[in-house]
Amino acid sequence: MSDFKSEYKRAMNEIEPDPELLKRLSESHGMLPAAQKKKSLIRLNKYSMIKVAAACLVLITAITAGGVYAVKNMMTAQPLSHGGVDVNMTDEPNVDTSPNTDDNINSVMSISPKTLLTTIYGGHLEEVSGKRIKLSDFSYLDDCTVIFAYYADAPQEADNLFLFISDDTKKRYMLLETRTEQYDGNQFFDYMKTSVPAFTLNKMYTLQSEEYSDLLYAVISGTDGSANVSVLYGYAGHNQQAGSFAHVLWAEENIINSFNSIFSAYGVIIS
Amino acid sequence: MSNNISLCSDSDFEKVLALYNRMIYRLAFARTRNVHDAEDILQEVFFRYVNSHTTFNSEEHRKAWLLRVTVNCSKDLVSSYWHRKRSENIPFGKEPHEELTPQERYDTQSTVLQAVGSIPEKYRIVVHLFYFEELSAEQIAAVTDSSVSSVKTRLHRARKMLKNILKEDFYE
Repeated sequence: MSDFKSEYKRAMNEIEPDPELLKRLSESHGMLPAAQKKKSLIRLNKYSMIKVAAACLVLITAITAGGVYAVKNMMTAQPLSHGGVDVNMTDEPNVDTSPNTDDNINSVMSISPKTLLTTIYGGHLEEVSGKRIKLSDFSYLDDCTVIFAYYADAPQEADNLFLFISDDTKKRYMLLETRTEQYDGNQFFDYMKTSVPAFTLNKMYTLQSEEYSDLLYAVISGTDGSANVSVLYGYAGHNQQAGSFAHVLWAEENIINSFNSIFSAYGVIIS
Repeated sequence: MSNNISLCSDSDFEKVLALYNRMIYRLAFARTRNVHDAEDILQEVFFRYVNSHTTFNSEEHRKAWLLRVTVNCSKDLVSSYWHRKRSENIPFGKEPHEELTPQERYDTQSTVLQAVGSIPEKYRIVVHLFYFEELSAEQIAAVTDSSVSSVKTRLHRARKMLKNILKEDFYE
């Protein structure tokens, strides 16, 4: 009897990619036209095709709604003050629009609230999702307000939670990444409490639907009682997948009222 | 830097394809448990490779890059709405338009492979990288963008699960 490692290697070594596929990849220098790609679509049964069609419909609806919404946001966003400090909504410092590659994955992204909100609620999550943002100087946390946080990408591992914060004194906006190992909301809040001691949990509730159960929304208040921190926690979109848009739309329907009170302070109205 | 490895020529691409296609395909398969998904990922990884302007300073660097992109592509696919819904509709190993699938052959071929396939995805990928690619916990952490302690925990839990499934057949 062989040991696990040998047996696993033996079994895995028998798994080979389709030589025809490799040949085509080689001939095309990796740039296979879509028509030549082996796609999963052919493997779907009729029932799945109906679901795919439905997903496409949702996608088109979401894109349309997102576009209208983004335009509306741009028209309604105005400079307003929050906590006695002017927040210039038209100021867009160093918006990072570079592709999400491993090269820039560690870069700190600065983005204005308006741009970020438009991006997220316009359904263009891929522009910010998947980016890993490190905050090099945590002293900013003393002066900043977390406007909201969200999961840009919540696969089964390496969950990325993004906190969107503004530094009131320096008028800087930042995204920073925190890490949780599980979907468990309690663990997340334990993490928040220990990592961001300035904030305490105010209210937390889970939103569920028949299709999605992994979205959790919470409101955290600043300890001084002046700053409201809203945390959107859960699977909130994924690279251009139809489900993501459906999910975002679904999330909007449920939390829109809660977010409105927070976002309106920044001149952004969600309707 | 003169030691840097360029990617762009056709001959380089073919070399890289020949050298790494199995590594990518098997890692993708370990994650997705589906040969078609693994093929999709293989194509996507090489597409990204061709479009990437990354300069590699060693072959190890290139390998690590490809592993990481494979992990990312697998993640994208596995956590996608498409994949989740399709997984509910199509039983693992049963393809609607094929009488005999390569998948079924793989499934019946090895108890060990089946056991690994039955543990959660986040453990499968760690098991594969550790036992098949023989990466260290530190290297796995870099590839999967996790902490070393997280990788060690996953390995420990994976071993425990595999032990429960394979009983006396599991030993290292």
